[in-house]
Amino acid sequence: MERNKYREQIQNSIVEPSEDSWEKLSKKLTDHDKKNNKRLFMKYAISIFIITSLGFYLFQPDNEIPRDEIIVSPKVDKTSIKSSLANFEADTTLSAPTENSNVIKIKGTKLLANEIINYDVGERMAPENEDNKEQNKNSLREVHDYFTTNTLNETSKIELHNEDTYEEVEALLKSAYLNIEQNDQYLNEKTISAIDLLGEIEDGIEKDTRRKLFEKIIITIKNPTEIEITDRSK
Amino acid sequence: MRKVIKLNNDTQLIKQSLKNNRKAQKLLYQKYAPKMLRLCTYYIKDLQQSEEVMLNGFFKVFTKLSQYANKGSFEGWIRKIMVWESISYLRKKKELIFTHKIEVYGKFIENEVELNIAVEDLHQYINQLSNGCKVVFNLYVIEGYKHAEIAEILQISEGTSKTQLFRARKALQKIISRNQKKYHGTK
Repeated sequence: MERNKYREQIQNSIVEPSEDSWEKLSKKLTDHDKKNNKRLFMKYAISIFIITSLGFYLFQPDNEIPRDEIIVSPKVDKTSIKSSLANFEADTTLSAPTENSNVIKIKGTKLLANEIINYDVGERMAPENEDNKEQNKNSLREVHDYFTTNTLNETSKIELHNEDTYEEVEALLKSAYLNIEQNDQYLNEKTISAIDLLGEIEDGIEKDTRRKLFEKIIITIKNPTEIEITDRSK
Repeated sequence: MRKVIKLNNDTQLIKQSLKNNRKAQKLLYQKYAPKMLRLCTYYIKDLQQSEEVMLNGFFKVFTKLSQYANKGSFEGWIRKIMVWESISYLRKKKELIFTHKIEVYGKFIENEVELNIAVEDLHQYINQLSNGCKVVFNLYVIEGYKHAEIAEILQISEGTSKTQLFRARKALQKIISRNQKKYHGTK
């Protein structure tokens, strides 16, 4: 008992600290607070940056994925094709017949104008069934007449000889150009851009990989797998 | 409008100190600093150094105040920190050396005189002891730790702690009797 009293006496004994001791401590505490605030600010800034960049990476909208420009095919004016086709037919196949002969000479090959017309028209307007046969025949005739008249008009304009002339070459080039143009238009109308298709496939793969990665992370967080360390030297 | 907070008791002061209220911290400091400075002087002879150690201790008290879980007395918690701080200071200065020489010590007969010494005088006598003996004596007699606890704090064996305490007591007895002879003549 007496010992405890003595202990209390010792513990309660005091020595007054110097007057400026609190100021020293206060200054130290203020410096510490400032440092702490800076650290806290840095922590917040870093975490916000990490979250934003992660979010940007993981949830990037599809339309923001950079890829090749999508090429939109221009609308095809069917009437212009028809007219250019007519011109083309007139310029090429039907430009040769003359009063003397109905034979044209295209790059050294001799073909009858009628044969060409029949061939072309027959290719394009083949009858689908018996009911339409008559109708198709009529339309074939119409086309045939149209080409014939056009041919006569064109041939009257050009002085044709049985040899290649400048005008003939011009006409051939023009027809070739038109032909290419038609083919391009037709292809644009009927085909799909390979670049777009490739882009779509890449997007699909990227989405799938991202989803799988995300699922894997979630599974790992939920069930942390035990890592077994094996001794390779054995 | 200003909010008036009454800072009467430790709980209120601690609450406000946790919010970095300097006024509350100052009040806590003013309340406990004199006692803690005395505690430090039991371990460190130099008063200036003791004050430095005490300020470091209070800095830790205020920065780690959230760790005080209102279990036990607040004063006891501060005392623990101060003791740790003093011991760390002695360790840093490499002034805390324990000799592991095994001594066969007999039963210590407590002297009545030992308990009747004035606190101030005892403080002086303790400061004459070697650091090892002084620390063990302070921890055992003043702070009330057991040998096992002292051994854990100082990272020594329980035997060493007991030896140090025995030496300290013996030395103190010598000092006290020498001083009694000096002031009261021979018995």
